[in-house]
Amino acid sequence: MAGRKDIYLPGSGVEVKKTLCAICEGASTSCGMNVYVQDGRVLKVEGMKEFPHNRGTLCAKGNATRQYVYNAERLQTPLRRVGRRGEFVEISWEEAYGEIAERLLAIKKKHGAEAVVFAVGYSKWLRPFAQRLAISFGSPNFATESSTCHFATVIAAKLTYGAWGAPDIANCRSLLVWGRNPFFSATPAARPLIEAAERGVNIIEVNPLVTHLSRYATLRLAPHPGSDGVLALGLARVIVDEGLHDREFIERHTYGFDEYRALISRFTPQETERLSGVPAADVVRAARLLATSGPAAIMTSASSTVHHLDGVQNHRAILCLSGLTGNFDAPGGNHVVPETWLHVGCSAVTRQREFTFPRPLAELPPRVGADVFPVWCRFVGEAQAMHLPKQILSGKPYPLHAMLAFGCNHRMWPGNDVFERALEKLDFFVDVDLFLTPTARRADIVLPACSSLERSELRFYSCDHVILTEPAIAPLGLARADSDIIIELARRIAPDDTLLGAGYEACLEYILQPSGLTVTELKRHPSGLSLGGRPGITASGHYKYRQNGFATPTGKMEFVSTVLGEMGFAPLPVAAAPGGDQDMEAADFPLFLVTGVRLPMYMHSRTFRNPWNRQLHPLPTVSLNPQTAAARGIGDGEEVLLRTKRGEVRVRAQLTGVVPGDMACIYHGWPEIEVNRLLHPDRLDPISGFPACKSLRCAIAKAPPLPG
Amino acid sequence: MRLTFFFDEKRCSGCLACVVACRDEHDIAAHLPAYRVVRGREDGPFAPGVSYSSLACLNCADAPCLEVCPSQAIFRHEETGIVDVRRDLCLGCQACAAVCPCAAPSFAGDGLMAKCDSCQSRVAAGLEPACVQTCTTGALRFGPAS
Repeated sequence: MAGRKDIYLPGSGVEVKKTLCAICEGASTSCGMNVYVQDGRVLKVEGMKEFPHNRGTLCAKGNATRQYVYNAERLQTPLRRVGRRGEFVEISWEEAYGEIAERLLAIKKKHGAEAVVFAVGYSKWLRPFAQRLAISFGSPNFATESSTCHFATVIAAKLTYGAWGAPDIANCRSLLVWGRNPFFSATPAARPLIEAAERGVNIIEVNPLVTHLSRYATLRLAPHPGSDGVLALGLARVIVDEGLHDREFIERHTYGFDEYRALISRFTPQETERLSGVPAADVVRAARLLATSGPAAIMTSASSTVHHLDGVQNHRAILCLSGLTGNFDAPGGNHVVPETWLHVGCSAVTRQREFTFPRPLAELPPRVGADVFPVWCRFVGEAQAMHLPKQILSGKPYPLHAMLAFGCNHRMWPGNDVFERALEKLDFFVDVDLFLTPTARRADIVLPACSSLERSELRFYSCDHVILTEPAIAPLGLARADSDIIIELARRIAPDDTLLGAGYEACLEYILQPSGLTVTELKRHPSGLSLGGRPGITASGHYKYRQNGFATPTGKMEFVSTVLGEMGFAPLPVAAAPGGDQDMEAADFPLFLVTGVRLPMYMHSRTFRNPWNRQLHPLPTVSLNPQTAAARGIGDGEEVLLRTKRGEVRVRAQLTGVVPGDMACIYHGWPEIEVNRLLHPDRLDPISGFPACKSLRCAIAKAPPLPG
Repeated sequence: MRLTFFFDEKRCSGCLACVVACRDEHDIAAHLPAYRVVRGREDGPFAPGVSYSSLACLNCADAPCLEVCPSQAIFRHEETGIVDVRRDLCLGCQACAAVCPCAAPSFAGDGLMAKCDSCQSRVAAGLEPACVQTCTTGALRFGPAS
């Protein structure tokens, strides 16, 4: 074997293979990666330089890929529970498939296919395959962890504009970055943001936390957690008061402006300051900048604005600023590009929808959550996963008996102890994962999945790039690709689905058909290929509403949402005071608890097993402003009790001025402490079903010494 | 020619990608120090935000480590100016650590000196050092000192 230093020499026997990173895996991540392979083993990884999405970079997580893929805890064989939950014996794939098929078909026969839930957490790439399996089996109950991430922002966008618009960072002159820190959460966006600032783009940052972007911001607004909607309405009032709104657009293309105007009139700069904590003068400055230094784009987060009880309304209030200033679907504004594949829109058209939904959902029984979250069900073709534990435990409106899950992490649910009880109530639970996670330990059968390095994956990127990877290394042990598991199960539990039955590449050919791309052509380009200039591929134009109207019931941008009105919600983007339901004066719980803010070395629960990541931040911490800590006699690194009405965790204080004085900020995925147990499982946004992870009241006190 | 690292303090977000890339490149276990060290402070030029430094051997023009090494274990690659160590000659005396302005030498593993070699083998193959290529913000660059 060559020494490490020889791997770059010609003739070293080391082959550089092209793949995608195994860790974050999403629309704004999924970085292209080179892996240096010798004798079937990865010696080193690096970002793929020629890949336009990440341009050779990887984050702290991606660089630890070897410790993830070759982790000693990787599952390498199917397991079946013996006796109590958590005790397993190894079984063969044939035994596993046979038992799963037999049990699921028996439950379907006895209780109906809807009694079986198909759930996908991480990875996400298999979602269309898993949902097709669910529907071909006859179950409407396909659920994902996007029930707490991103989709509420899509609902807000669809209610308002009938479509989601991506910020056109390359062409904007002002950029409103609302509650997002891609420097830690999605590093491919880091360089484009800095380059925009260096080009002279006015960056207006809205974030209670000081982030890396703050030093590039023309103006930084730091509202209290959850007061985003109030702030957005306050910005709107200044814009309208000063006559800076786009009158022609509003006149011709919007619905409900007069009512909206009446709503925002309440939010004077002074009132906005009182409710959000943002100085009135900054509200005025930001509004003028946004409206007069266009084109202006709005970049939002997948979670920070919608993890509140009135999250969708918060987010709608923010998005309204785009239409108000005439920037929606404009160059340099928020550009509508129809979804191509896996939540990414680019110039290519695929048959994702036809593939994912072999039958319309309307032909199937109602989904989990349909009775409580009708708006969710209207805009998202999935069950609302936050409601799963409740329906499993209550059996209402119908009982759920089994779950086939891929990478499910029950610890992500608010009040996850309730989901633990629910999992134990299921008659049959299968989890597919790379590791024997706390969720997998509760399963009846556990199947070992491949990492992205061991399988194929199709990805499109908004920069008009596409890649179909081939396995860079053989699967570890008996691990298999999730797609192969789904296809083999389809042959047994949904034999009428001949497309799934025909195998992975047959499915890809079907999906790719309208794009003119083929599996054969994609395989000839291991680093992927650019869609620009290909025959039959046309970039999405701008101002499409001028011809087609908006895909809303009125055909207009809806300041007043007809759908929300019909469904009994406030039709205007009315944002309540932050914290909504809680007694804000209560001395017992004086701080906002914000869970889920990203740390650069962790991705949910995925990288805690990597020593290179863990070493960078070994112990669970809660971030507190030094003044907040001093008032409680808490020193940096000291243990504190973080308490909500629902429980408490013992954790170390990390004192930092980047956190405001009214907030306690904690990462959600620590293996040692159950952060999400501090949250009440029923504190959900009634429109989206999203949990209010970012505006719960909490208390912090110095921890007493542990006994003994 | 002498190659060295350039660091743009404003661009560094403290994402720590360079540290892990260094570990992957040189196969450095988590309990040993990486050759690149990132530190943050809140009283720096970007307060109230965190100002970071990301530091590794700069291949100094007048490298004091080269002067003080009693066993000539530290040497300079002629073509690139990269300062490197022949560990078989190192005595573990730590004289180099005492004079290094970047705290580049470490002795944590087997007691012999280990340090950043600017990913000399990557540079020889026409590639950037691992930390530079992976840098998510473009804060790190590598090139001729002039």
